[in-house]
Amino acid sequence: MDTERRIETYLQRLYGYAFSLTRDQHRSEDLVQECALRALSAKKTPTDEPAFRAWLFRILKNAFLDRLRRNKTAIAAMEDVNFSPVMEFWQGEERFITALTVKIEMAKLPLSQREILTLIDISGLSYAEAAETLGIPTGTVMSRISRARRALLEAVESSNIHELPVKKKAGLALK
Amino acid sequence: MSDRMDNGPITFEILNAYVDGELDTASIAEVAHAVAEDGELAHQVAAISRLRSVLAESLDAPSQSMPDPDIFDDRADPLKASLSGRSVIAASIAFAMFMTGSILVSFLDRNLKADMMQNAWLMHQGWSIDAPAQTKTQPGFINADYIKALPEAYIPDLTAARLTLIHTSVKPISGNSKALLVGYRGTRGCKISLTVFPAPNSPIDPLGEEMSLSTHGNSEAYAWRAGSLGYVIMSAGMDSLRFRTLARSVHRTSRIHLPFDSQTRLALQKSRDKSAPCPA
Repeated sequence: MDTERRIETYLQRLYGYAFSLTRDQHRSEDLVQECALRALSAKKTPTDEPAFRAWLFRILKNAFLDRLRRNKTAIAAMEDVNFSPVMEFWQGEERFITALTVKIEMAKLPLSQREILTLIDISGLSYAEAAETLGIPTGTVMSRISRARRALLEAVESSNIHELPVKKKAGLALK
Repeated sequence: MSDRMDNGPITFEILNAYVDGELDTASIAEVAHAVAEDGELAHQVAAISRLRSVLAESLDAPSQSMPDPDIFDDRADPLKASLSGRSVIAASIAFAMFMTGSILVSFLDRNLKADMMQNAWLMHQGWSIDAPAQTKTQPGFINADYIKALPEAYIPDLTAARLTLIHTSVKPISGNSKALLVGYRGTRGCKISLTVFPAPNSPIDPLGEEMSLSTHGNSEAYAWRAGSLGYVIMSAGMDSLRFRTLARSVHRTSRIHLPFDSQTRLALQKSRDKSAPCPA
């Protein structure tokens, strides 16, 4: 398969990643385009598919960082948030984890958490591929994704936006 | 990628790696065993799995197309080069009519304890014959109150097989025990019951860890043990090959407490596409 076709299969997921970084549709589309162009103009491309995928996401990330630098936007936005090392279990209720609430609350998370959630859960990268993309150790990916999921679960749990409860008809009470 | 050489406590981080399929084989077995035995761990795994699947389906991306090489010289106006053509196909699940015919089967089987199977079969009839009127569950969702009745139970998402969860109830069985009954409905008349119940190991235990098939007429059931729970999955009239594929998938997921992987989802879709609709 030629490079163009290989890139094409990842366009939607690249967009998801770009959106997690920019939170803006047009800038995300622009980033995807720039990523594809950079990839197409590369002299060498990884032949191995996981490496190719991580390479693409890394290109997109670099394109994003370049734009940040150009715009002198606070690079601090990319820094990870410090959390307590103790990861106790989430105490919430599973029924609150709905598509609407997750989407709303995810948009409020810090960039580094949106980024790791997008890479792992939306784009489907493995920990090793995400580590390669982000230039961090795999162990850091492991802790970062668990912190991000916990933060999102807690945000979802405490969100005031929930689906309406289902009405129970009289006479249908469980024994 | 990760192992658990120290055998320390199973942390939230480890559970995440487990759900993501990032642990080595020995660690997977260790965590799976712990999850099967511990309701709190099972709750955490269910929450992480649900969050993952919700996120995986959350990408609401406009269709993306490859850039025109000409825009190398025209990056100042990125929109000029962007996005047209293919639309994102939204997945939709259509609900079909129920089969309303009564299915009365005396479900005794030589291989399985008769009263257990009879109970499960009666429960299946209880919701499936008059499913529209009795539906108490928002399609696709299971109320947390029901899960609390049997927190170690793993209730799989069968949408890959085009089966939607439409019924949940808790039923008293022998002694103080309660069974969790979950009903799924397909788009072509198929209805599946999954019953989960406490099954303490005993010398007269009728359940093994492998699936055991019981049949009567066009009705089939598979039963097995996963940890301290018994599972019975039942169908009336579903194509046998499809039902076997489905049961094997549920059997596996009940043991590892993880959603179906892509290979399994594909197999479920294929078996559904190849099979005939369920008879009314």
